Amino acid sequence: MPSHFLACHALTKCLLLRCYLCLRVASNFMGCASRLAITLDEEMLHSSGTTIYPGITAPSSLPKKTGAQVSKELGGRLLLRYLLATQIGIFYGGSNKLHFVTPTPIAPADTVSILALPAPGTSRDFAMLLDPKQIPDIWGPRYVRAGQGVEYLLPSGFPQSALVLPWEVQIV
Amino acid sequence: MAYTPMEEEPDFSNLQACAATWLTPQGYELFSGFGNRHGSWEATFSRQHGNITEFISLDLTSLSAPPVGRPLSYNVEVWIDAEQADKFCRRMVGQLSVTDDHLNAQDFLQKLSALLNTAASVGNNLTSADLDGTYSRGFMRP
Repeated sequence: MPSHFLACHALTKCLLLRCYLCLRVASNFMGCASRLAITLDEEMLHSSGTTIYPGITAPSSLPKKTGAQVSKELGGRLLLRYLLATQIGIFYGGSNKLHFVTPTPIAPADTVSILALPAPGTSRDFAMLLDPKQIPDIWGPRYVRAGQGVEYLLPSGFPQSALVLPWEVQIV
Repeated sequence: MAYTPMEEEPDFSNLQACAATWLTPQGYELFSGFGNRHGSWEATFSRQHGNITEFISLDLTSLSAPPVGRPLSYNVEVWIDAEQADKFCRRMVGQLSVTDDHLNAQDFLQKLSALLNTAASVGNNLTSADLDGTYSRGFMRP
């Protein structure tokens, strides 16, 4: 059992206060909203009976799903593909390469550490919003290896029709 | 299903084949071929080293906007990460810069080979004590 939980348990017998303190202490490890957003996504996936595979699971061993299946397990939510400001517009026509996406909105200050991204000095201030229902092949989900988030893989990329907006969203 | 991307997408197949040639003798196998991870093109190789699973990743990130009439430049990074149960570590081994018309040039490939060899050496010396990160998953319920 984590030490911060034991400390909270020792502080009070009130269940709600214990949960609150536990979250407060746990959130100190990274931006509070980002950590909480990941945890809520884990809860959402688990409650829909979806297994989140370990980060060391090879792509070929992940469950292969249709976009409609993934949309259902996400409760109709969208997928996010973060990008650098210099890459805006590059994927307006879609892509037929492998892409990594996540359902979790993450603050730019946390994106690199949560998703274990390269180019660590460059924040990902923009994101494309993708509708999973428009993407035929989606693999996952699995945890981000050496990070903290949850990800899906788009082995055949995504069609232009999957772009919910005709531009990237700036994360502010 | 094939789509028609607006921009011509890069082909790093030769780079991936070269990396496989250099890392296979060290016990690494291709884990994931080149894909785009939130702005960077990445290929990953993995091996089991005792109780530790190790990964070497080769990443190319274009940090400037697509140029007109000039080659696109990439920042090339080599990373190693490892994990055992809920412990992990992740380290950058080194960086290079290259333009896309130079990706198959011998001088670049030699430098990249040296960087990947360094990564494999780092992997050889990794122990459980080096895994300084801990995964935190889900709520801690009382």
